[in-house]
Amino acid sequence: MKRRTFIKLGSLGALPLATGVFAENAQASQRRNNSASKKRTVVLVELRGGNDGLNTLIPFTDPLYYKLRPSIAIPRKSMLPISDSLAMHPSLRLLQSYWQRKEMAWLQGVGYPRSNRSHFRSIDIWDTASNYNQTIDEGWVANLLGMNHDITGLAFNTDLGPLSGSKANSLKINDINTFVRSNQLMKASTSNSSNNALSYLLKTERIVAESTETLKSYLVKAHDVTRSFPRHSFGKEFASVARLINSGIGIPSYKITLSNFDTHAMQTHEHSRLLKMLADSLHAFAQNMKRNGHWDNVLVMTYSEFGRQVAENSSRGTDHGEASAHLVMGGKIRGGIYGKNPDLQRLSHNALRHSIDFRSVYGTVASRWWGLRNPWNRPLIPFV
Amino acid sequence: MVAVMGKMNLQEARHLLMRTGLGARWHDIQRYQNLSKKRGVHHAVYSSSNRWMLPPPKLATWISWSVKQTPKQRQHLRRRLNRDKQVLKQWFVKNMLRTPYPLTERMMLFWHNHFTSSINKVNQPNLLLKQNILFRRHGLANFRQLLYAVSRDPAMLIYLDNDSNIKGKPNENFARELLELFTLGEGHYTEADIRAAAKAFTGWTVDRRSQSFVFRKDLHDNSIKTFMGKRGRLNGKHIIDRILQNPHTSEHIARQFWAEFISDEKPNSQTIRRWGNIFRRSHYDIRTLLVAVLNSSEFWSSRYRGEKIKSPVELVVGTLRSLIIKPPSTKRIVNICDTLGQKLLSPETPKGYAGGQEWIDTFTLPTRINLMAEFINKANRRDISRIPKLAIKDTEHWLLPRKPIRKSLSHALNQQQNLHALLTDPAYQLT
Repeated sequence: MKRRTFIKLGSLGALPLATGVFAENAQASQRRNNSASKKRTVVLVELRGGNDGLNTLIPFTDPLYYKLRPSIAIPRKSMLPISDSLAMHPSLRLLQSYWQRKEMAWLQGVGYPRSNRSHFRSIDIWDTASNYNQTIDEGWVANLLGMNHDITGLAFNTDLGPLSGSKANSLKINDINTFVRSNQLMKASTSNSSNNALSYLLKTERIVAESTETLKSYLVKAHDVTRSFPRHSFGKEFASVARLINSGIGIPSYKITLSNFDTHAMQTHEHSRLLKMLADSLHAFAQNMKRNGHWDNVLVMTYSEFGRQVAENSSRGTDHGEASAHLVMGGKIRGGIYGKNPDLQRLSHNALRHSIDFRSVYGTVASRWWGLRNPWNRPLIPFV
Repeated sequence: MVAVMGKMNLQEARHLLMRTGLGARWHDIQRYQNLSKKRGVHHAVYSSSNRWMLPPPKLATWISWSVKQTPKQRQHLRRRLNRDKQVLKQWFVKNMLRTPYPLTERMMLFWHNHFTSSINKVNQPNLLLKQNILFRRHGLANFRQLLYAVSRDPAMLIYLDNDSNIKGKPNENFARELLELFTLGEGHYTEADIRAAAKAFTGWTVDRRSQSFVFRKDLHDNSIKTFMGKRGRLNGKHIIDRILQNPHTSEHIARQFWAEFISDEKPNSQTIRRWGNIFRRSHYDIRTLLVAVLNSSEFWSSRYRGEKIKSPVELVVGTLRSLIIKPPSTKRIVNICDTLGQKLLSPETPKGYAGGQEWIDTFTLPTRINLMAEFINKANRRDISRIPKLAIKDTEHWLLPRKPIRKSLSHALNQQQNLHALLTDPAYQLT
């Protein structure tokens, strides 16, 4: 992904603190994590299109939930309660055991002030951790990790998003084997160019040539594990991530995407199908990581450009909203529910208001997981 | 190469053809070299016919999809649907390969990427065909008429859920993309404008039996709305008319033309304002805007030559057309475009493809280069022998917009080896 800066407005003033979050001295966490952080991996799962958080983590005791969603509310008896007021979508059944073992946390009401309801603008904001009125060229992960890795991040079958950056060596791959096989003869030119497009082409060639070598040498150390994953392409992508982590290659970040969350019409069946794909793949991935002793070094997190509106529309679907619920999983996760329960009384034009700024989540990953300096001045959330 | 009597030199003629067509044949370049820039632009824009297309395929009508009884019949229908989708995509590709009027195809592709609709959501290949013919007819005509037509286009109304946008329960999808992607551009409207526009378009839907646009008065919200300062019982047409009064609309289109015809780099805001004014004053005549763009100093500036990344279609169809080599099967070309990230008739998002550097990543670049090698290696000897044998400098100037990065060509190599070197050079990815 390539972005250009159009306007660089100053950052906004202080933001209201969300409850359930606290600030931490970044240096302390840096000391704590320094040795371990080298091996620590983040797997970003983009739920593309704007996931309906309200039907993912359901405030099932709120009568307004049923009133505003007469045809798409999840039936009480099929949902999976995880507290006295919240329940998971029935498609997430396989995640129950992780919830019980506290290897999974829910972050509620994640969003940002002056939320933008355009898919494209909003995902840019999420990818780059910018303010609503600011355009940044670099993805937030690329920015955090800088140039210290042979391969900064790897995206399977999707744009680089947060992994994209001029300093980063991030790879986009559709299939690892094919990639290695077909690029054996790729030559990297040493030449440079003042022509932007050409220098971008040359840089890409260089990354391909170098990473093909790296991947080739590590791939022999890890089996293809596709067979123990769901057979859809999203499951296969998760299998590829697992294989690379098992190989010991030490890539710090991965990104995969599950699409079709833009459920404007007839959402019930489609949403349920997508969440099942998500849960089944997460389960297979977690099992594999546990078997291979990597679960403690992995943090999986979902994100999406926005949540959806609260009251359903005329097409048994939902239009673009604002804040949403997201999940994080991993051996070191401190299970629980973070952020306030959704307030269906105080809506912002039919959408949920945020109680956690998404940069609080990123900041937590930066300092409490990777032990890096937190560049976002937002309170941390102790989910890890 | 010295310019004689204001005539275009080889590189200029090539530049004009590459940016307005699909590839550039040696023969066409020579023809254009007899013209001045101005005449060349005029010829490129006004000689293109909006009537030419291969005979459209016969596709099943909507009604036939709704009969589903037994699982077996359903399975049969699904197969037929997939076949129709494939047939339409192949027709799309064949038109681009065979057209004598590549600018019409290019504009069709441009509007398809601007007013996106995905065959996978609409699931009615025949409606996508109808929409495609609409883009051919209006692609070089009037933008206002084009907008009116698009807002009544069945595939579009289904794609952006306006077929279920009804009184009391508006669906904002179409209204939002109309303002954000099709006309004003992000940041030039409010959320309240979107809500008002959504209400104004309630009842603009599709009649299943006739498979055409229908205005359902009973589903239309006829209340008083305020949209961008205009108050009244507004309907969809009022919304479009209001949008077209706003200079941001013409500038938004001007910016898209910049990206299509000039550069992946960011445009100068004065240029955009100038083109926006020209477009608006011409009452949104698309040819007038295009002529202004192609006659601009920016279009001819060496700064913007050979620094734009080819789209998959430009690369694949352009190469096959320029060299006149036998193409792989159309099915394969559809797949190649898919793999390279330009999914014809099924863009991944309503925004379409951003183009430029977004075409290139660590997967697509090696795939592109390997593919060019394959085109040359697999071309039959007769095709290769018919490719004009030119002086090495001329071959370079014909096929590359700038000097090659790797080795230059050599007399020691044969035609096929030299072409291989040129087509796999990183500079070949540029136009």
